[in-house]
Amino acid sequence: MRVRDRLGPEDAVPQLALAPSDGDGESDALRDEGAAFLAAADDAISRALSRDSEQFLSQNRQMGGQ
Amino acid sequence: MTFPRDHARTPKVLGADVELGNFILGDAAPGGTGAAASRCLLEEVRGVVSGAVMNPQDSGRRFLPTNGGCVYIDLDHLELALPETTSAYDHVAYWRAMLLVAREAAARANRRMPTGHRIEVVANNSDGLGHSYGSHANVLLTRAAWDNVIRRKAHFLAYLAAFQVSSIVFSGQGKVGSENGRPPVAYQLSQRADFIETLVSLQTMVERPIVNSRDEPLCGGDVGAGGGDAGELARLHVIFFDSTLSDTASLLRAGTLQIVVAMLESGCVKPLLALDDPLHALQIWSRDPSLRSRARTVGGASLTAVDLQFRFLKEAVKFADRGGCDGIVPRAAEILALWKDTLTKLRHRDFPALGRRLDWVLKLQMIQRAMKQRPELTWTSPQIKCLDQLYANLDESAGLFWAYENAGLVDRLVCDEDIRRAVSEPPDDTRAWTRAHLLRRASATDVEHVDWDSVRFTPGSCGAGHHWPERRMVHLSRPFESTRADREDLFTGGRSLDEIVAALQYSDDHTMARRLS
Repeated sequence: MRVRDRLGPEDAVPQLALAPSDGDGESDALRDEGAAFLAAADDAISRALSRDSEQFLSQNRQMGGQ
Repeated sequence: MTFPRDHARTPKVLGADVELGNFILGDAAPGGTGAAASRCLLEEVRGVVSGAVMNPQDSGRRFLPTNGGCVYIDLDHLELALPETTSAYDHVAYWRAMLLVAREAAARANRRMPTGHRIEVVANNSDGLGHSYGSHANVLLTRAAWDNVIRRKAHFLAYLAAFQVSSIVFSGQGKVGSENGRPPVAYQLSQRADFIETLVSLQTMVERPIVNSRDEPLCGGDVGAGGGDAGELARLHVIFFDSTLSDTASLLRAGTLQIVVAMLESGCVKPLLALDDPLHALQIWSRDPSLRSRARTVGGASLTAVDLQFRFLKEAVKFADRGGCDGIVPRAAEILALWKDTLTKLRHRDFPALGRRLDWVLKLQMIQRAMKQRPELTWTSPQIKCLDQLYANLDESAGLFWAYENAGLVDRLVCDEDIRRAVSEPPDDTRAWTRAHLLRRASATDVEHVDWDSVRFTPGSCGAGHHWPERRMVHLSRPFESTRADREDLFTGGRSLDEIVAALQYSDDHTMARRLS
C-alpha cells in the first residue's frame, strides 16, 4: 500500500491561521499582513515547483550520518 | 539575593558540529554522490578561506585560521564545526558564518562542474529517503555536572530529556512525511524525531538517543585521565536538535540549552517535570502542528509541549533571578525574554508572528501556500517533498528560507556585518581566538597537528624561518581562557612565532604548576 493511500483524514495538517486565535479588533489587519507575508515568496515557490522534483528527490540520497 | 555558590560552575561555552546534505544533481550514480560532492566542497573551502590548516590525523579536517572553526568530511557529508563562543548570540553569528562558507564553496565548486551537473547543499537533517545526519550542539559543564546527568542521577537525565523533547516547538525545522519505519504523517515539527529511538546512549548513527552520553571533553587530557582539566570539565554532546535557519530558533536552541545546563550544574532540578515516556511524547508532539497533544509528566500532569516549556521557563527565570546565570550565560535576560515571548505566541497560536521566528512554522506556511496555488498537490506529492528539501537549500536563488528572509519577513538577531565578521575573525572571548591567531602566524609546514584543545608544531620545521629541534605543543585546555584579552599582547609587538609559542608554553607550565601545588 502506498503512503498516499494510508494517509487518512486524521493526518490532515491544520491550516495555520493568518491571525492569532485571540486576535482583537486588529485581526483583519493581521490577516492582511499574514497574506502579504505568505505572498512574498510566491515567485520562489513557483520556481521550486517548476523544478524536476522526482530527479531532485531521487538524487538527494545521503549516507546516513551521525 | 545572590546565587549560592555551593556547586562548581563554569561558563556555558557553546559549540556545534553540523552535517550538511550534499549531492550532485544531474548525476544519477546508484550509490549517490555525497562523497564526490563533499570532496569538491571541502576542496573549495581552501578558496573561500585562505590558509585552512589540515589536521593530518583526519585527512579531511581543516581548521580555519580565519575564525578558528573547522570544516571536514564526515560520512560523505561536509561538516561544519563552529568555533567556541560564550554567547548564544555569537553562536548564531558563527552558525550563519559557517553556512556562508559552505554556500560560497558550493558556488565555487559549481563553476567547475560539467554542464548539467550541479552541487546542491542542504542544511537539514534528513534526505526524506530514510537517512538522517546530525546537527550537534555542545555545551561546557563541570565534570561533576556531567557525571550527575549521565552517570549518577536519573532525575537529572530525565529533566534534560524532557526539556529537549518539548523544545521541538521552537527548535524543529519541520518535515514532510515520516521515515525510519514510523507511521505515516503529513507534516511534523522535528526532522530528527523519527530517528530518535532511545532515552540515552553513546550511539549517534543507530538507535539515536535523546541524550547522548559521548564523553569527549576536548578540554585537555584523555577521558578519564583524572587531574588537570580533564578532571574538571566536560562537554555535553547533544545530537537531538534539528538544523535551524531562523535566527530566533537558532538562538533559543543554544541559549535555553545553556540556561538549562547551568541549572543542572547547580542542582536546580525539578524532577516532577520529567516526562513519564519522553520517546512517546516526542512522537506525539512532533506529529501535531496544532500543538494540542498532551503527554504525561512524572508528576502526573497532562501537558502540551508548550505547557511544559512554560514550566521550564518558570524555573529558569527563578534560577536567573537568584543570579544562577551570572557570569556563565551572557545575555541571559534577553534569552529568557525571547523564550517567554515565543512561548506566549505559541500558546496563542500567533502563527503570523511565529513564521518570522520558527522554521517549522514558516516551512508549513510556505507549503500550505504552495498547495493553495496548486490544489492538485497533496502531502505525498513529490513537489511538496521537494519544497521541504529546498526550504533549507543554501543557494539563495533556490532556498525558500532565504526568499522570506531577503524580503525582510524573518526576524534577524544578528546582522550581515556580524556574520561577515564571524567568517573572518574568531570570537574574542574563547580559546578560538588564540587558535586562529596561532594558525595565522604559522606556515602549513610548521603545524603538525591541530585539535580543539592543542596545537602541536613540527619538529625541525623550517617553514617561515622557524626551526625547532623538538616538538612543541601549545595547550588550549580551558575553552574560556586563551582569549583575546588574555593573549593579544603576545601577538602584537613584532614577536616571532617562536617567541609566541615559547611564551604560551611557559604560561602552560606555570598554570599547571599552580594547579598541582
